[in-house]
Amino acid sequence: MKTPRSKRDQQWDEDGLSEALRTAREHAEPTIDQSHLNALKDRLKAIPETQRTDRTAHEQKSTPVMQFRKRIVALSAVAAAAIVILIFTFRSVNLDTENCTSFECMLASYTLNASDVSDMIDEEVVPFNGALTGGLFAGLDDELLEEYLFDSNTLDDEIFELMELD
Amino acid sequence: MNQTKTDSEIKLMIDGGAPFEAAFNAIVDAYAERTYRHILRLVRSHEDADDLTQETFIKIWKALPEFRSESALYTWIYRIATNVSLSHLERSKRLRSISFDVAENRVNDHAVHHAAVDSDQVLHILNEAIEALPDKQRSVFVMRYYDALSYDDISEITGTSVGALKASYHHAVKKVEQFVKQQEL
Repeated sequence: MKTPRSKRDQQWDEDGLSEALRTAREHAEPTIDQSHLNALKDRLKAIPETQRTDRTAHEQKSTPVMQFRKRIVALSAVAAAAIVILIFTFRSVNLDTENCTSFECMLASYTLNASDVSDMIDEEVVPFNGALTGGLFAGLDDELLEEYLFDSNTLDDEIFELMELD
Repeated sequence: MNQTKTDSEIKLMIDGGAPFEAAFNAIVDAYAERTYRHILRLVRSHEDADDLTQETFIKIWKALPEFRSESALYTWIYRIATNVSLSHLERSKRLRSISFDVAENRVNDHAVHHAAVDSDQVLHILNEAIEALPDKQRSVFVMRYYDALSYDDISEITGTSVGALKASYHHAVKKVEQFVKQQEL
C-alpha cells in the first residue's frame, strides 16, 4: 500500500537529512554586506535606463550591411540546428533498443520513458530490486543520470514510487 | 521610506498599467537580495553572483512586458535566475577544477589534523560537498535545502517532473550526507 503523498513529502524532509545537515542548514546563510547589497540594488534599478541607452546606440549604429550580416548569422544558426537535429534523429533510429537487456542500455538510447520502465519491470527484463535502484543511483555516472533526469524528463511520480519500494 | 511590495501588489501594478519601470523597481526591492543569495549558492562566488544577478534582472526587464500575471512572480524570477546560473556554470565548466573526488581528498586531509569537527568545519565540508554536485542537481538541492521551495514550485522553475526532482534531491542529499559523515568519523 502506498504511503500518502504528504506523509512521504514530510518523510523526505525529515528522514532525508541527517542531524548534521539539518543543523548546518540553520547556520548556512552566506554573509552579504548590506552596503554591497544596496550598491547592487542601485545598479539593478539603473537597468531600464542603460538598456534604453544601449538600444538607441545600437539602432543608430545599425546599417543595412549590419542587418544583412545579422540575417546571414541567423540563417547559419538555423541551418546548423537543422543539421544537429538530423544527426540526432538518425542516431536514435539506428540504436538497437530491441536488444537491450539492461537498464543502462535503454537509458543510453535516450528513448526511455515511464511506460518503457514499467514494461521492463513487468516483463522482468531487469529485476526491479536493489540492483536497478543501485544501478540508477550509484552505478551510473552523474552526467548520465543528470541528463536522464532533466533532459529526457521521464521519471514521473509513479516510477519514483515504484523505485521507492526498494 | 521605501517599502517592499508583495507579489500581488507588484502584479497589480503590472496589470493596472503602471509604468514598467515602477514595477521593475518594485521587483528589484523585493527580489534583489533573494535572487543574489540564490545565485550565490549556485555559483559560490560573489563576483560571479554580482554579474549574474545583473544579467538576471536585465532579462526580467526585457521580459516584463510579456509576463503573465497568472504565473507566480517568484517562480518566474527563480526560473530566470536558475537558468542564467546554469548557463554560466555550463560555460565555465571546463575552467572548474574541483571535482567530488578532489574535494573529498582535500577535506580528508583537513580532517587528519582536526579530529573534532566543529560547526564551522561542518559548514566548510557542506559547502565543498554542495560545490561538487553536478550543476542541475545542485540547483535542485539548493532550492529545496536552503529555500525550502515545494517540489511543485521547483518543477515549475526547472520544467522538470516532480518525480525526477525527488530522485535528484534524494541523490544529492545522500551524496552530501555521505561526504559529511566521512568527516565525522
